[in-house]
Amino acid sequence: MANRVQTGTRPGARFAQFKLVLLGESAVGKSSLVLRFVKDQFDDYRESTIGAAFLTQTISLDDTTTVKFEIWDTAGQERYKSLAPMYYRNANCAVVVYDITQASKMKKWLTYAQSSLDKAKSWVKELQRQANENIIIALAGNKADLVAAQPDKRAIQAADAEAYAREAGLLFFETSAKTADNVRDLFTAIAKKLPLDQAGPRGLGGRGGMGGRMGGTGVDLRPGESSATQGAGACNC
Amino acid sequence: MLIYNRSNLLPALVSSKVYQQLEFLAVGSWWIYDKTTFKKIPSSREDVVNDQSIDLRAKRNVMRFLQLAASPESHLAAIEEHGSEPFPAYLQSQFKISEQLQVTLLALTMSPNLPSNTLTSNALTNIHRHLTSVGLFGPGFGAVIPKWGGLAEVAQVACRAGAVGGGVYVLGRGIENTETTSDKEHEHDDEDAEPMIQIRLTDGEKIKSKAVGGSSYDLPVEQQDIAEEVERVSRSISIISSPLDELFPPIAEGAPLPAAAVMVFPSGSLDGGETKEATMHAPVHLMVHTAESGECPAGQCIIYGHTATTTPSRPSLLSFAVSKLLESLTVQPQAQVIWSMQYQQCHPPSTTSKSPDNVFLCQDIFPSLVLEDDVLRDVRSIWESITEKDAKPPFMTFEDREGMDSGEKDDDGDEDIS
Repeated sequence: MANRVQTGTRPGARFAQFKLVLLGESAVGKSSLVLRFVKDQFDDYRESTIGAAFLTQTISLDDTTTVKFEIWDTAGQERYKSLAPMYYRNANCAVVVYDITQASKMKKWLTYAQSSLDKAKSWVKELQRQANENIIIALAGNKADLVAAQPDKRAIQAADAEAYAREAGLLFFETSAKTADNVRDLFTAIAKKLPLDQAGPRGLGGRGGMGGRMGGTGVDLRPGESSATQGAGACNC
Repeated sequence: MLIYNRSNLLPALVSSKVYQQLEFLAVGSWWIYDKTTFKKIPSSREDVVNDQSIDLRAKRNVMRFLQLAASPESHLAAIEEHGSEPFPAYLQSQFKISEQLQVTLLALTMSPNLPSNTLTSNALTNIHRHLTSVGLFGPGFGAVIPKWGGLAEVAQVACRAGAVGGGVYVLGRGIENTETTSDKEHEHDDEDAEPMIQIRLTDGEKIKSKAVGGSSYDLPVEQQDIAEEVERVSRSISIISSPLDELFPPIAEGAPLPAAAVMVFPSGSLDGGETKEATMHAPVHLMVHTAESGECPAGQCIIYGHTATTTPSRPSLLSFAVSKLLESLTVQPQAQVIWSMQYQQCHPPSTTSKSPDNVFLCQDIFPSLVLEDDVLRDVRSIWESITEKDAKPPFMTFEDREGMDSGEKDDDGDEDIS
């Protein structure tokens, strides 16, 4: 489905590539959202992501504008948390996912677990503190299909999450990876907010992807070719 | 761990294109502890010439030595002739270099051993590397550190590159056992039915591969009798309340800002110059990283301590060294250790255990201060063994990847386990 990479031969055509990272607690549906977005599929029984997975998807915003997402889908399990900075460090955008049917719950061993929205909030905080300064963050309340079928399954009110998103400056959608509801809208909204004019043809693939903090402190391992290599990827975030 | 600019890792990162995802920072000055203060070690022959603290005759001798050490041929010839001598004795007999200057040259070797155990072969190799690394990637510095926490970053980026190329990497599972099968039961109608290795992961999952590689920590190696000669290294990490700017003077005009400093406490120097080798502590190295390394908050710095553990063991030696470093500085109020930890690393002597065909065992990496070239050399020989049957692609040379289009995965069943 969807468009493949545009060659950019048409006059005025714009092509930009951005790195997107998915974060959120385990089993909220991060991989399912990606699978729906990239392949338009849904698995009822999806295995837990180990480490991180990489996929790309291209969308057209209009006749002349194409955005390619490099998507890094991360593992939500707590034991992989320390890896997350690798993935969000030079990301241009992030989708922080929570499960709208999951409130704080009593876990085994009588400890209270945070709700998946609380967990999402802590990811947002971490991103705002440590990721790219201009990172675009979208908050996605997933599993809307469960609530549509059984309204009493809702644990987190859309209004609460939306108010939080507004306050924190995030895009907000309630999504369903299962029915595809709002999935494409979510990624399109992100694409529209990205600074298309500043992204080079290779987007942030090059050295410029270093969190926008290339202040001349780094060492260039290719002396003599620096003007050629850095020009293309120079800080464009 | 610091990486000298001449390290074979850096060109491999460039040719494989993964350097684009990494960032390296310059290592600035080397400092040596003398009684209560630190003295900056001249980092180049020019610096030696300009150093007022060395008298002229001594300077000539040091220059003669540095010239030899920097020369590709002469230093090899010297290793040939004197390689097995202790380095201090070599400096004394061949160059009449005083004990005080010997200590400085020993610091440049980054040797974790007592002076008498530092052989001329290693010392000359390392000083040659030090001298010829300076200036390679910009004026005045000869080594780099990876930003954001060290060499683990390189491994992560390699895994990411593998994932982008369609590989799978799996965390939190090990290899339980491997077994070479002739693979009859699966009726591989391939004409060239290569022997496959059945790998059982620790969670019970079974996968197959043509080749398996890893260190003795990754692979179920038949342990030979654990030798008594386990080498131990004490290490520490301390976060300091001040950026300690005075340790990071500008490297040179046009050079990047220094992000690391190497502080060397020569053998015995923390005991007020103990000279009896039997009771002397081994050299202590403190690597100070600035907040620019991404390893601590701005306004602080982080110190990595390293010393070979001698007998009798001195568990508090590293924290003592850190406190001596902080005392030696002029920063007011005196910088404090906010947090610290210590641990010991053991390194069993390398074994030559046999592994089955197409199971490749890397040598364990010695927990040293410097990334040594033999690490990648080892990888390269494994690479060559695995690619032998193919077209022998040049080592670690890849094209830029645009990112794989999903749905076009080649499902040939090969999985890379890292």
